[in-house]
Amino acid sequence: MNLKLTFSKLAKKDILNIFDKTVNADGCVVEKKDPSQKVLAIDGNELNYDEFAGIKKGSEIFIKSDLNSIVKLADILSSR
Amino acid sequence: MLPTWLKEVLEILKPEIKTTIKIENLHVGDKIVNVNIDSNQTKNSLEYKPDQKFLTINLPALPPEIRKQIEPILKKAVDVEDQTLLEQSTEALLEDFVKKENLPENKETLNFISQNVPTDDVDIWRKALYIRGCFDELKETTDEDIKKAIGYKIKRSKHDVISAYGKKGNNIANLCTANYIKTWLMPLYKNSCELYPMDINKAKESFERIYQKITEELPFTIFVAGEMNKEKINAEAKNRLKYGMDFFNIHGIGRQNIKTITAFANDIKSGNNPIFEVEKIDEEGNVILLVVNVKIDKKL
Repeated sequence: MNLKLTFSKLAKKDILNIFDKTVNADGCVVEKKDPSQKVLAIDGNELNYDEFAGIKKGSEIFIKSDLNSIVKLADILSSR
Repeated sequence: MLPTWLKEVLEILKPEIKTTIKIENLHVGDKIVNVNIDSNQTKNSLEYKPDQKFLTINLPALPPEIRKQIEPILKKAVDVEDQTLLEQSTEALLEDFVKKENLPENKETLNFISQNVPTDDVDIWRKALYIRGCFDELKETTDEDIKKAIGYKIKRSKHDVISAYGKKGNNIANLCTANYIKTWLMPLYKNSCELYPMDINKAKESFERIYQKITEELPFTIFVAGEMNKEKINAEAKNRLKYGMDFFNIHGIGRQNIKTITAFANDIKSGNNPIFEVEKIDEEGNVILLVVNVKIDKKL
């Protein structure tokens, strides 16, 4: 069985911090060292803090909490 | 076997494990299947549920020097060791999606979709199948709390499909729930192959034309949603007469929609509708299908 690594909703900000990200005034996830650089999600769009739901390797793919992102992630994981 | 990052984390946490959860050998054997990172000011630094093999690491409650060592290892787990890190409910959704997609009863449908439906629509159908799987799950449960949770999952998933694919996404989700792949699309494809037995490309083109019509315009199907009344159903059906069909399938899920569709059927039966006549009504549990025929003199 594959080990699962998860985080609770309360830990979102701490997780982003661990990965050198932060949230700007508009609620977008941005690079801590360069806040003008917005983090893109797996669908290629800007990532809102509310939608942030995970991270996968591969230039750090940021996952959103919607079904569309989940299906993309499922395909990435099954092609490993 | 534990991944390297977790071995390192457990090593650093050894004193905390001993004092907080009082287990000596958490790193030995198959004792952890889920590590959850929490950030809760009111809880202990560690929590372990042996029946679920679930270890929670509560970052703010760790001694600062231990937290400082753990955090880079978590980053390394993702960046170097290819560990996926997901928010708990998203992990649950992923697991649920993979489980439903791999159900034996979906195999034939998925094969058909991947081989015969336009490539751009394949993922829409996969998500639609997931939504249908949730409806099936809903039918099988009587627990009100679980029903509520599944209902929320359906609503959310449908919203995600519509926001990504618009009206076509909504249509496909509804068509899939109403089992149109097996009852309509597969037979239509077979029919196209029989029409062009020597030319598979022509057969596929013929099928695709019909497929696009069905999924984009619903020429003979009406899905009744919450805000529709019997007058609206009638208007929708009249609007579809232009396709020249001599029947319509009217689908509904839920008590209110069943009531609305039944009211429409009763209107027709009592002679108040000059255009349609009732062919049949199938009501099972929470689902209704009303089939109405177009009166001969009203066909286009």
